[in-house]
Amino acid sequence: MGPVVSRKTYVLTWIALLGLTLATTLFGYVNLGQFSIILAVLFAMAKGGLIVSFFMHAKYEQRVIRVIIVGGGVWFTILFSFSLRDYIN
Amino acid sequence: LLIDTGPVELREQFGTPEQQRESATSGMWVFLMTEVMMFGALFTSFAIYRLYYFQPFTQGSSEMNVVLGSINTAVLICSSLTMALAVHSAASGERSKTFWLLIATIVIGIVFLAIKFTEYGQHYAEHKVPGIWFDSHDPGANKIEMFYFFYFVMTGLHAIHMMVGIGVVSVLALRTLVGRISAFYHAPIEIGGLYWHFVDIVWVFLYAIFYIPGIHK
Repeated sequence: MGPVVSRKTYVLTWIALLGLTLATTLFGYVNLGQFSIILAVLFAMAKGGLIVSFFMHAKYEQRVIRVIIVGGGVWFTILFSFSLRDYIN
Repeated sequence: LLIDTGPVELREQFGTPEQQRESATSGMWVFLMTEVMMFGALFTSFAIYRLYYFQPFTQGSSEMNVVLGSINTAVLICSSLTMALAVHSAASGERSKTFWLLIATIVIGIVFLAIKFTEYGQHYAEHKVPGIWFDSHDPGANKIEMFYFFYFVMTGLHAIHMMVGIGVVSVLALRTLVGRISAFYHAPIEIGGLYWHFVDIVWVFLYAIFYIPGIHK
């Protein structure tokens, strides 16, 4: 069993993550009202996606792992959206 | 943890190291999804309170130390790189490289905690400890205090995860040192790495919700 992801991929992911962090911080200085946190969370989701795909090499795993990840995402979406529904209306 | 259990630490219920690795990996991912739900409940509560108390929560966020928060985000991303490279080295059978990358991960993790506790110290000095010592002249003081409750609970829970992670990586480093990890069977490093990266992701979101919304003020 050799390595599944190359060192180059790891380093590129790392650079992208640092770049996205810088972008998150710089965009934070623009006053977007309610949307500033939404934009920050979108950047965080992009970073999370990179970490899961490459550092945690989910991109290269067998299907069962992806089912588990999607399952977690679905349950969290249910928790979040159904809870918030009560408060937004 | 260091007891010799056979040539490749293959447990009797598994046919091949690959099968054992798949079981271990999926088990870890299931555990991480339960962690998503635990942190998810906190993130959901935070979102609801933020919808109600938009101004006080933005005020609370503006009191955060953005410089230390941003440095800590970069620090943690670097620790994830060393962890990922450790997995790579372990899979390539480079024992000494794996060991030193794991040590680097531990050291960077400790740097993160040191910066985090410096921030906690600052909040204490500024009398921003909710429930114990919270001074604010803002008309929405108790709502800002609520922001700090979320901040301390969520970053505190994250810091506990960091300490657990440092413990896990320390055991992995020790196992690598005594030769319990090989290119043939290095699943423990991979599993430990998954946990470490997950804790990194949680911080990425904490940085986004606590530090960013108030920095324009």
